[in-house]
Formats: sequence, structure tokens, C-alpha cells
Amino acid sequence: MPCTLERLLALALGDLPEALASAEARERLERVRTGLPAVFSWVGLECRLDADPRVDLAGSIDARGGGRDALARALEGGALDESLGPIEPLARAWCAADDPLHDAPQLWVELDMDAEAPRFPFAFVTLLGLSPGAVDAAISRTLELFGERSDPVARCVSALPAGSVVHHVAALSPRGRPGVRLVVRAPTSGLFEYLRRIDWPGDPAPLTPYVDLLGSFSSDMVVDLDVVDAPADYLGIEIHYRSNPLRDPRWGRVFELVESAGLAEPAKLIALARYLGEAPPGQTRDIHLKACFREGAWRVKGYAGLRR
Amino acid sequence: MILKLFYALKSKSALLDQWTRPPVDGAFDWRLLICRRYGLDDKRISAALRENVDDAVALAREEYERAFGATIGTRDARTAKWAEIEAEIRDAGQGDFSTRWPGNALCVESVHPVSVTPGDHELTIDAWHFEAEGKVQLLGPANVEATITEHSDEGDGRSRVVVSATLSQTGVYRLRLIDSQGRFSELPGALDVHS
Repeated sequence: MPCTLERLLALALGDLPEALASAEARERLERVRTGLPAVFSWVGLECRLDADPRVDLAGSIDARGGGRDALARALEGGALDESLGPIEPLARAWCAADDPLHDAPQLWVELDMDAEAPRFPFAFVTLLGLSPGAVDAAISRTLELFGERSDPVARCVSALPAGSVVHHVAALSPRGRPGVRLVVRAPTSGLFEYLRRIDWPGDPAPLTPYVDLLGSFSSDMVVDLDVVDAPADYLGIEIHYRSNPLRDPRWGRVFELVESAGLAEPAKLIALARYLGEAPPGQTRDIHLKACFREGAWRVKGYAGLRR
Repeated sequence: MILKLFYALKSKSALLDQWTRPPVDGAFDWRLLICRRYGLDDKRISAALRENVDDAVALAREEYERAFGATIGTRDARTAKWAEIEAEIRDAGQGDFSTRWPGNALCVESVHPVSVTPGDHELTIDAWHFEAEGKVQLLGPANVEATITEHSDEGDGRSRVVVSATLSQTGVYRLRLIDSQGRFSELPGALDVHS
């Protein structure tokens, strides 16, 4: 049954190791009041794994299980304009049965906690499970809602190697930036060629250790790209295995890579592993890592998730 | 250094799999904790959930009405509680959207047993989005193609696969699953064959 984000957040924070969220970050999160009704199925705490104490917040609303219906009812009441801010038209479109976004199985919002008052949510539309035509239609609709140009995005999507899938799309304007973020799963072996083909402006050499390591575990990897008039100098690498990090050597090797590069504090990595490994009965938790490469430098974030 | 710390923590995670994935047959399904709390037959409901979420809900509802003499649909506390139970069951059966990653990608999760002596063995593999037409390989001191003898699709992307393999050389093997489109997922250090 869907919950409020505040309720899920309280559950997740209750067991989140101190190493991942300082008292100050925790207090800041505890003050969050989204004004959104009980529509959420998942909460994620986005923790920096270096010395940065910031922790941001994400939550997902599922089409199945009643979350979207509850959102639609609340939107009919007109009470959410202030809570949803710039993503309110997107939420309305997702709830409308005749809208191309309606096929999307999930909408997730993020709150950046770096401002004194957290910014309005930033929203991703999940496109998993949609036909290629429905994915294109949903991306076009998202761009239209936020007034973004479609050509640069269409170019990046059409250049994807065979076998790729677009997982998520989000407009960056609620974060005060132009452009769109695409999250795609693509064959690892074709990644560098793809980046070259779309004229990605970054230096691909520093990506090699990640691509080599993850490519030894899987033929595909999930990457984030920001597209404005052209691809921006940013690449995110999403790393997730459902298994216990305390047992699965893939997690150990990834943790070793980011720790040895000085990108993550060991205490934070261990706390993230324990968050999953020591979940109490009845709780479904997940974790994932994101290695973000921007302007020649890496940063790594860890996400501690809780599913209702 | 970090791997050493992991070893120190390992003993604390013995029951983790029960909490994060569907149970093996007969084990308690933690996702259906609410059913047990209300005295419903969680094992039967869990088994039904493997087939079809609607069947699982219908079974639970029948048990709930019998146990509490409740008629679902009236505006009373029992009906409200039933709504909560139904939501939990549907939540458990609703598929692979519990996390953003890796979506519907092929992914091997675990193998059992993890340690054997040389000879013929049956291995049980848990994976996501792995079809019966796929291939299973054990790579290491010798590369071995395993034969899939059973494949069950849990309906939400999870697959349980039983394979047979002849492992004659000792050493540590990687487990690789390959789907019909040539995509693979690999688990390093998956199986230790020792004399």
C-alpha cells in the first residue's frame, strides 16, 4: 500500500547507519514536508560516499498498486500545485489515461537537500517495459512538457547500439538547468564507440577501469547522459546487484575500485553494505552506487533504498 | 582493506537472502509477513503468488473471511485491514520495479551449493530475466557447459534454474549465464571445486 514519502523516509532513516547520514543531514531530512499524499512505494537516500555529508532524497510512485490512482485523486482536488511545482504538468500527464506518458510504469521524484528549503522535486519517468514506439512517444511528451528541444535527444537515442534500452528520462529544468537526462542500458562493448558517435565531449580514458570491471560481470551497463543542445560533459555509471554485498564478490570488487581511487570512505561503503545485509524481517531494501564523471573528475554516490 | 572488513561482517548477514528475495520452496516468505500476523496460511499464499497474484489474493481473502467472519466490502475496520493485506500481497507480486536498477536486465544472483568435490553435480541458480533457452557456463580451471534440467519463471522476472554439470578439475569457477541474444551476466568466485 502506498505511503507518504515522509513515512517511508522515517522508516529508512530509522536504520540508516550514522556513517551515511550525519546528525545534521538527518535533521534536515526529518524536516522534509512534501505535502504529497500517500502515493509512494519506494524511498531512496542518496548519500555521498566521500567526505561530503549531503544526503538527498528520492521516492517512486508506481502505476500499479494504487500509487498513481491516489496521485490522480489528489491532483483532481487541485491541492498539489505547490508541492509538485514545476513537475506538476508531468504528474498530470502521467495520470491522464489518454496521454503518451500514461503507459510509463513509474514516476520518481528527487529532492535536493542542499538549499535551506529543499527544491521542488525533480522527476524521472520510468520507461521500462514499454515498446520502442511508446518509449519514443513518452520521451517526446516529456520534452514537450518542459519545452526542451527534441532533436539532440532524438539523435542520442537513435545512435544507441543495438540491444540498448532507454530506462528513464527527466527534464533538468526543475534543477535550474536546461536539458534532459537520459538513463540507458547499453552493451558495454559498444559504449566507447557510442560516445564517439554522439560527440560526447568528455575524455573517455578515465572511464576504462569502470567499463573493464563492469564489463567482466555483464554484457550491458547502465549509464546516464545529459543532453542540452548536444551531449554534456557528464556521464553517470549506475551499479547495482540485488545480492548481498557482504557475499557477492562483484560488490566487493566495485567497492575496492572506488575506495582505492580515493572516491569513497571505507566506513561509508561498509555502512551501505550493512544497510542491506542487516535488514530486519519484512523490509525490502536495496542499494546501488553511481559513479559520476563530470568535467574530468569522478564522484561516487551510494543509494540506500527501502521498498514498502 | 575493505575486503577484510567485509569478511569481518559476513557472519552477521546469514539470513539476508530471506529478507530480500522470494523464499525457496517451503521457507517463510518474509514479503507476506502480514499474512502470518493475521493467521493466514502464508505458505499456501506464497505458493499461489508464484503462479498468479490474483490467485494469491483470492486465496488470502477466502482465508481472511473465514477466519474473521468478515464480509469484505463493508465499511468496517476488517475491510480496511483486508485492504492493507491485499496491498501487501500485490506489492510482493507486482514485479521487477522495486528498484530503478538494473531494470529488466539479465542478472545472475546466486548459485547453490558454492563448494563441491569433483564429480557430477546439480546446481541451483537464482537469476533475473533468464530464459529457459539460455546457456549456463562454469569458467575457470576448465570451461564447462552445464545442462539446464529445470527452469522456473517466477512471473516477475525472477528465474530459478537447475543445471547439471560435470566438474572434474579443482579450483574456483565463475558462473556465466548467456541469453538467446548473446547477453551475459557473470558471477565471479561462484563455485569452489576442491578435493
